[in-house]
Amino acid sequence: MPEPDTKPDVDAIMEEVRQGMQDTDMPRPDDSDEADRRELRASLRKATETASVLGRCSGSMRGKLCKLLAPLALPVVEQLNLHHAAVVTALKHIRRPGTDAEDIEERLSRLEAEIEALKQEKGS
Amino acid sequence: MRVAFVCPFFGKHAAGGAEFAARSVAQHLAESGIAVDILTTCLRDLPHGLTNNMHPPGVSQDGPLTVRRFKAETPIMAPFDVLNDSIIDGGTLTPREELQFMSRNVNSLDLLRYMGDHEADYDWFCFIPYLFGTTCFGVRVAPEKSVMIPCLHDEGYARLGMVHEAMANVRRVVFNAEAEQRFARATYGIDEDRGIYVGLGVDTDIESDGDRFRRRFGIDDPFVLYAGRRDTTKNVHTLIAQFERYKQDHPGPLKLVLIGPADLPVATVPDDVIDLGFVSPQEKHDAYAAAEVFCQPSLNESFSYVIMEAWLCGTPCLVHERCEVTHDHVVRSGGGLYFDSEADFQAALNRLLTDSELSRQMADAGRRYVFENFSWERIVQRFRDEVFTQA
Repeated sequence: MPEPDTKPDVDAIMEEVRQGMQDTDMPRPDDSDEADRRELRASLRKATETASVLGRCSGSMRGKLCKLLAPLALPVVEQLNLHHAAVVTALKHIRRPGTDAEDIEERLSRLEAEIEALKQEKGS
Repeated sequence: MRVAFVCPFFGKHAAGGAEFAARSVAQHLAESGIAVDILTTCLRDLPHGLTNNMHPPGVSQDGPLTVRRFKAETPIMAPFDVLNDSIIDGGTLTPREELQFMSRNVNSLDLLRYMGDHEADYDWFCFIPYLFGTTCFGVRVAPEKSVMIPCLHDEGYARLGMVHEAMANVRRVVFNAEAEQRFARATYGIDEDRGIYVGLGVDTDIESDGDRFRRRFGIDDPFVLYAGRRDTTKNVHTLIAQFERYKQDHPGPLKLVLIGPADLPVATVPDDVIDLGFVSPQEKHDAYAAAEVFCQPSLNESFSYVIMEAWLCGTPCLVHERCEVTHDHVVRSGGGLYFDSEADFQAALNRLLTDSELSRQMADAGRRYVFENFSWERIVQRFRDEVFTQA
């Protein structure tokens, strides 16, 4: 914390806010890896939401989903190749409204195994 | 003593927990004799948008509070949604992107100018909540007399560099819950000299009549109650699913009564679930008194007024084990039980329903806990003794 007698420069603070507001560039449009990761995270979020809202999944399956989502948020796991085709396919099936609970359970188990295998492969 | 509360939104109709907390804390401090100004924008609340100046700028009086409204900035918002999604998804922003984000997340240059011009007129500036420009830029004007009431959650916004910087610069940080204080200690290294657990105040003079609720809504059967937003963010779908399974194993007249706003997170409402939707505050208090058990299944509460109200109305609580805040409340008070798995839910609910002596003791313990920790007298005293002090 600054010394009490240090007078903050309000004009400088206001100028910084103005500068931020005038900066309308869209963030990182050329970062395709980041875009992929965002898409995957959005899919996972949608999958959880869809599965929950439809009320098709059991408590244990929801727990499994949460367990899956937690490590995915960690930066170390973000470095893995999570847009692996098998993972994306599994997610697409989870999102499909007609998918029944058993199918979701099975696909989640496979998804979990897939992520575990990727983690082993990358040595994290 | 003269104190300013600085908040992005303010008003009787402003939706949101932090907005409710800001208004009620400020009012009670003012009623205790402290001169309290509200420095806020002309925005109504988050659901009405970040650039929609609905209130006129200027000075008005709200009970004991002097409200000074300033026009919010209305920048081109284009990058905001992408940056916001990235933060929510756990992404990391560059310093430039953080500035882009925060300069679009409610700012008022007029408000900053007022603070700069009138800084000497106030003894303390209280900023609530943490994640808006009014706070992250505002705390820089007079950091040595700045108090942040962050209303923190473990979420992406809390990891922004600008939030770290604001937390490091303020004189004090006030927490609504011990779990929030633990999170701030781990994330920002805020020790107990600067970080103070105060809690939120609860109106303890609630009157309730369980029979009146039963007559009003024609409910004769015993019931478990949930009150609050009835959606997935509050984990209500889990409560409904767990309750249905409980009823499969324990057939009988027991019902689950749901009250509150939003759309139910299930396609069809099961037979034993009574969905009342929005009710008046008095009807809600009467419902607490009529219920056998109050269940709060939410995983992400920053305080949970409803369990305090249920205890005040004589009802034990069942909370989710993975919500640190409500779990802390229940364990510290002895006012109820907690669950995670289906088996936990069944066992805990069954115990509360079948052991009336234990239920009564738990409700009494919860009530004592509210009076000892969260009466407004206690909260105001803590602000006076521990927060607004030069020590």
